[in-house]
Amino acid sequence: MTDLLATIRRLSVAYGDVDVVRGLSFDIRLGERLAIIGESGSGKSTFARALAGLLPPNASLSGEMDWPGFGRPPLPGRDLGFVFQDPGSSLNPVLTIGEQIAEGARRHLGYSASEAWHRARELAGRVRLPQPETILNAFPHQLSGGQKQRVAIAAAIASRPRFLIADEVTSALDMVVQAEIVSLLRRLVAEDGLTLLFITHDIALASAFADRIVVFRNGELVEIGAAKAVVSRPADAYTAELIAGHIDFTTPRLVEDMP
Amino acid sequence: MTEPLLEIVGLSKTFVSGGRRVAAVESVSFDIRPGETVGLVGGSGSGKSTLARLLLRLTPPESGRIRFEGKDWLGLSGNARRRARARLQMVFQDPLAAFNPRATVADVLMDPLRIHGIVAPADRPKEVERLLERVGLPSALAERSVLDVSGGQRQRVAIARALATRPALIVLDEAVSALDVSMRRMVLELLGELQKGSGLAYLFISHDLAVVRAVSHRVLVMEAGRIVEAGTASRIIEDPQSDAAKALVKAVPKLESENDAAT
Repeated sequence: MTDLLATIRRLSVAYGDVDVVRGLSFDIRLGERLAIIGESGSGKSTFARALAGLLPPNASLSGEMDWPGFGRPPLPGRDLGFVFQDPGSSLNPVLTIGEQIAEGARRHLGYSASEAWHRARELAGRVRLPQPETILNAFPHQLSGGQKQRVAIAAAIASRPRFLIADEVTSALDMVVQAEIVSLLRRLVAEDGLTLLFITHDIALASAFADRIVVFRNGELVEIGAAKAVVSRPADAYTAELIAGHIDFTTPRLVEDMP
Repeated sequence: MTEPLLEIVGLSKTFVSGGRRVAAVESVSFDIRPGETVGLVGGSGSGKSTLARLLLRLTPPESGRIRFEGKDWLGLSGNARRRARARLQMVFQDPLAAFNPRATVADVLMDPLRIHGIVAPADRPKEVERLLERVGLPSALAERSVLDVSGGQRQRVAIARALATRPALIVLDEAVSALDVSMRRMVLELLGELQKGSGLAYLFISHDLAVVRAVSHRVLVMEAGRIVEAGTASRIIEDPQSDAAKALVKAVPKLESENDAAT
């Protein structure tokens, strides 16, 4: 089975006596855009961290994760890139933008400082940062939220990983910037043939962007399927609730007209 | 036409950033009528939160006038200011940041009752119960710590606190943005219920035009400190004129089902 990146079987994560993720079993296909949908506390971020080997030491993990796509467990930073919700806290405030983007290439691809800087320059262009030459020498606090998230994405793909995990990467951004970041991810994933795990609480965003959707609730998987099929014919009542709760331009208005 | 509840004329505020003067709010004028919800929509940095802070007198404007309930709001001081302040309330995005973390729900609701002398001390526990009931929370919640209630409950407590002083206008600054979908829907419905027949007005600030559309009678689009477009939500969505409105309309993700053409 070479078309699978990862197989996850009976995966559970607990903190002390509290199970945060319970008995997850599903596959991640090579080259797919897989969205995980869930509300706060659904375990979606914990699952992503378990997958990336980024759980804190007090977490206990059970079950199996196999990586047929890599033939071995992936090396975080090298084989998989991770982009977090808040770029303000995932970027190092005292490193220049260029240094943060270049680090992955230096550490994992063995690039020299000048090669890595050249790579950072190229990536800054790919993620459409304005005036790359100037911005590479800037510090995170000088950038807008959307620009910082572009930097975090550039840094995550600097070592040419084949798997990218994006954990609520647009939740802290306004809608217009969110649309720009989603379109950037869409382009990068297509150009590089990446497998993308896209974690979000927004089922509409997932439906427009992902090939498949997994729905999490209270640490358990409630539904998995092709994105548009899940939205058209949700198999689970909870998924139907998420769809019903979504607000877009067709939602009945919630106010009475002015007299 | 009823007299406006709030009338803002030529409001401006400039910040100095890196030696440059940046207009955060520039010549903003609009009004809100009793019982009306005005949606204020714009991206990060468009100036909408600064406008809210000016309106609440949390920061002084450089120029402009604000009339609230027929009075010169910026000119009020002392008791007159305090009385008007009770009529103009605010709910923020993150209620936890707005509450004393050691407070119980009852403390949070008791404070405005005491400060503004809303009901006699003996009647305050009863009033707390009544406020919780109005926002659909059980009275048993009163004794719980604000840390110990869910995000949706906490935002209801924030709304109850705003209601405690019997306001005419509540400014809601991204008040539902941090909530899960199901909670968000319930809080929006609650806001509609509270408004029904009460004359309560809202200034509903959000970056999400879909949410603004669902709750607002009228919408203002803000960009770079200015109001660049105003009208009904349906007009703005069907026929946006400004670049800012066009971008906001386009940015709202649509639920894509099998019947939709693939993108």
